[in-house]
Amino acid sequence: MRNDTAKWPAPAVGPRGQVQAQGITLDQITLPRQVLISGPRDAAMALAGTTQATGWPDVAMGDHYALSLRRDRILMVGGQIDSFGWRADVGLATSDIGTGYTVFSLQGPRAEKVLRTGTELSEKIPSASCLRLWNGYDILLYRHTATDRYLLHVGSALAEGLWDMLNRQIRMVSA
Amino acid sequence: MTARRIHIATAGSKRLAFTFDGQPLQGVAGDTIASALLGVGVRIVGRSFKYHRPRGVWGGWTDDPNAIFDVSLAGVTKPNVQGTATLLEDGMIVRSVNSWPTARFDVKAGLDLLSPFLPAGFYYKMFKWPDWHLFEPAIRKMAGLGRVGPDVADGPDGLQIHDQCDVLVVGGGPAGLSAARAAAHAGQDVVLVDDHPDVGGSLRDNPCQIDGTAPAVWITPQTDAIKAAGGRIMARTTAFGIYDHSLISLHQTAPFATHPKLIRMRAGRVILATGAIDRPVVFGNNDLPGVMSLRGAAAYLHRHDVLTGTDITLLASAQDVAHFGPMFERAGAQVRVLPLETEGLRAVGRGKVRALSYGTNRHHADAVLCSAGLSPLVHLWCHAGGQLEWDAGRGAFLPGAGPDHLSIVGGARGANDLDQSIDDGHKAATGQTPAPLPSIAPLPTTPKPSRARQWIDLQNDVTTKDVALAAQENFASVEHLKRYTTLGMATDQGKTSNVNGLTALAVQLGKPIADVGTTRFRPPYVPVPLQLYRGARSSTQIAPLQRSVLEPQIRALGGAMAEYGGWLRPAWYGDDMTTAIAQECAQARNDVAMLDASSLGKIEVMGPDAAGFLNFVYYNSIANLPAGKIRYGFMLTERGIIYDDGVMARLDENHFVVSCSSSHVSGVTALLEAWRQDGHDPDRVFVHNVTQAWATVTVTGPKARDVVAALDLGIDLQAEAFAHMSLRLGTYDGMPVRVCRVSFTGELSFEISIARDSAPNLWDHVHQLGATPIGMEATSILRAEKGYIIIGKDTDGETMPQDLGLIGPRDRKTQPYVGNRGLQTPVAKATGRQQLVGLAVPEGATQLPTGAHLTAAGKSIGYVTSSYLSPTLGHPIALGLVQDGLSRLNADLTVYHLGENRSARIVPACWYDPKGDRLNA
Repeated sequence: MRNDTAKWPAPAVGPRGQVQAQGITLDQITLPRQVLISGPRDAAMALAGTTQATGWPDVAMGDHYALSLRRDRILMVGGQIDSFGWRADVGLATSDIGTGYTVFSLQGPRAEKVLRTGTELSEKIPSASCLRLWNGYDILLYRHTATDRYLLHVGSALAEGLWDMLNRQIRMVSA
Repeated sequence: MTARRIHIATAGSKRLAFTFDGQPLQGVAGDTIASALLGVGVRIVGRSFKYHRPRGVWGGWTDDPNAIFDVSLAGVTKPNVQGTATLLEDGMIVRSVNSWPTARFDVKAGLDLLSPFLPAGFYYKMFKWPDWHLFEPAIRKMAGLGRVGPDVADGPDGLQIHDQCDVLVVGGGPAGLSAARAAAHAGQDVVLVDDHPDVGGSLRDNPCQIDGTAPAVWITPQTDAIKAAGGRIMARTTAFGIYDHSLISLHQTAPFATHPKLIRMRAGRVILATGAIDRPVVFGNNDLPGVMSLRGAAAYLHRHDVLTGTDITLLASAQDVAHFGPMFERAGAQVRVLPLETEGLRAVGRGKVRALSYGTNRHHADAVLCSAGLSPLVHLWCHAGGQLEWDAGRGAFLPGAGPDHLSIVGGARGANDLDQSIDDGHKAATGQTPAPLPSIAPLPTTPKPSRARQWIDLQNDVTTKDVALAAQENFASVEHLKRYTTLGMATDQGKTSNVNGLTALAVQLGKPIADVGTTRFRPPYVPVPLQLYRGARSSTQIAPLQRSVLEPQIRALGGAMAEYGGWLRPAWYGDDMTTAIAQECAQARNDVAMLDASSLGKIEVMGPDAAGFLNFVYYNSIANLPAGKIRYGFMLTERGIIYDDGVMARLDENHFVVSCSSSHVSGVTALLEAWRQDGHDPDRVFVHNVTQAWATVTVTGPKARDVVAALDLGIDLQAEAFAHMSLRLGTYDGMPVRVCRVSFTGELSFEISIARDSAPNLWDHVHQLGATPIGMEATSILRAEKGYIIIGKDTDGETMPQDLGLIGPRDRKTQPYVGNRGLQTPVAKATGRQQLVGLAVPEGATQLPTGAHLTAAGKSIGYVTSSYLSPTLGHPIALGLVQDGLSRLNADLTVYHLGENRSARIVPACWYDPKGDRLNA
């Protein structure tokens, strides 16, 4: 049995520091709440208290919005839901994700180029879902507040890897 | 060969210092490595693959098979760099390949004297006896071109970018420029790529009047028009492969020591304007340095002011002679002409060409510039599935039928006329049918008999005799010829050797070339750095592991981290592995231990059909599981093979949590989603993978209840109120917790799951209460003592539930479930299946090797799946899969491993607390 401790740098404790490069700013951010809601889309939107589920290349606004993951599933960001599990009254399944997704913000005029290192990205190619594979990582990718501000949600167990990959790509794009 | 730089245009150019095989040299800005070497009169740039024959520069760009180098600059080394297509940079260290100490004085050059004994395929025949592996290390050491150093794996990462366009034009010559301009003018999003530093293609290699003006005057308005219409022009960018769905791989070269760049271009349409290259003329000793491509030499003259000889012989068609001859004369060379059909022609010289001899004639020559016609560059066309058709007049394979999204124009289509190329490009871009190609008379290019060796593949030392030998030994298929002789392999990929090889084979077989066919071209079209493929996936990004929120705590306690099931987890705690693992086992058996179980799956299944759904997906009955209870179960494949095991906890009537094994979370989630939408109402059952939202701290050991009680979770922990295989909900520090009484160690255990962010506090608290952390190695021993399996370790791709002794559901479950049909097949019910058992060794014997064969009557009947020295029991224990093992209890077996035989006895798999008193405590 091998001790590989040294091979894997210790993970960050607490939020990671901001990374800046020419035309690119990378941050880790904290969102107020993330809740998975599955079931008929209209009912899910009503429960989430939103009117639109963000896909690509939509721009989500504010602190309370919904992300479209698949035909019958959204991720509510912000908002207020207190009971989880099967909601028989509305025929919806809900799960509190808490910090199960770590969220990074990539912003700036060259942010899109960083993203294009890992996925085909074009405003001409819309998608009803935010789910993407970026450089091998399963992420949710969408624009928030501005057309050059991108939020990436990744399963927190792989946040360390995604952060490292983002930094590698930023270095190369900026070289 | 007395190549030299004619300094008319380069007097003011910046000088670049470099070394070649240790010799300090100078080039000028804009040089390629090859032009710099030619410019200072270097004749021998490398050695051939097999016979170590001296090799000089053949071509002017990527068609050159000889000028291959290992190049270092600024601490970055790249092997097998094409010197003809790599720009020289100040400080480059250039090393020839396949030679030592230098290309000029190579100690292995004597191998050429043995060439009569080393024909094609000799190694297939010579090194068979007594064992190929005896010779393999030496042959591998001798074979290959450049040296692969650690830089290839650890050097600069490759930048990979995705891009899109409406029309991609490959090649910036006259046809490509015309196509790009027309497409851009039509409002298309156009990208034009060319592998040279500037566009213009053959117009820059071979200047001629176009529309009554000089080429440079014509090129600039084209590029200006393309850019003005929104088109993009990418220079130094090579399209090296076309793949499905119109994906084209582009390699954009940058300064040598920087990140290589891959562009994955998705194009609506692709127009190939890749041009054509000279086909070598096959004659005696045609591999001598100084024998060069005619158009290559013209490119060196016009792009780099390098004249490749002062006494030049042209060996080409009358049309080429008329066109190119005056160019070299104007540059100061004496030019002679020989017709292609010259009988008995051979080059004379050692290390360089000095003369040409034919019949009784002999004349001096320091450069022989050849062209037996033009070979269209159709590699990319073939990558995309385009067909080829033999054109006898042009002596070339021309593009035939191809994919709709692909067009091919200009020289690549066989159009060798400038006006026609420009017209081709325009018509392709505007959707018009190209004008038919005029038929032309064939050139006399069939090799004439010669006593001297006639070379077809300069890189791999393939001669006409090798082709004849292959045909004689019935390697008559062109694909077999390639593999037997290595014709067209390595970096050449048939660019220069393909047609001449096929011609020689056709002569041997007495068939037309069209019937001989051609080999299939595959990406990459040119050599590309390996970093281009791996991108940024080096070191920890090769297979990034999942990381627990508790990792900082675990590291602080001395956890030795290692990979388990795609997660970075502690193997043990402390410095000494053996001592630590034994102590951790003892702690769990005798006191109280804790472990991070956050990686275990937590998949919520919800909805009115959730119970029926899980009952269908799992082997064990789930429908009758009461709320608050937990049940162990197998997920099977449709063949009945065990895919995963785990426990299902029922929170309420419509809400379950599936805890699968750590490495199968994604797989189990995907299968649940798939089955949910197949045969079930997807509006009545939903699946949420919330594994990463929760972290789990497991407290285990006879004193576990005391520790958990001190956490004040608001749960009655007494055995009567909270039995084994039950779940209770509570709170810790105001946060909801789910507590499961399940045990992987065989001891009283509580798995406490809590929101991820709150887990570090819980972990620290449990530790402060006296629980000792244990790693995965101790956990593996504890579970093996109980006979608990790890899927994929104690099971394999054939193991079914009955092989583990779990036959109840198969025989009694009445509702349908995944795998049921597989379990009823004759294979599933046959005797002789491998079944899980324990394996005991004689007293005093050492631990069995994992993977060792279990044999009976000299035949393997199974193998050891898990083996440990049990600190609890004080002797080795093992688990294994053995044919009919469950009915062979107490039988003795022979254990075979690496030539050694030992003995073992089949015993029950459970070694410890078989009645389960401890985990039920």
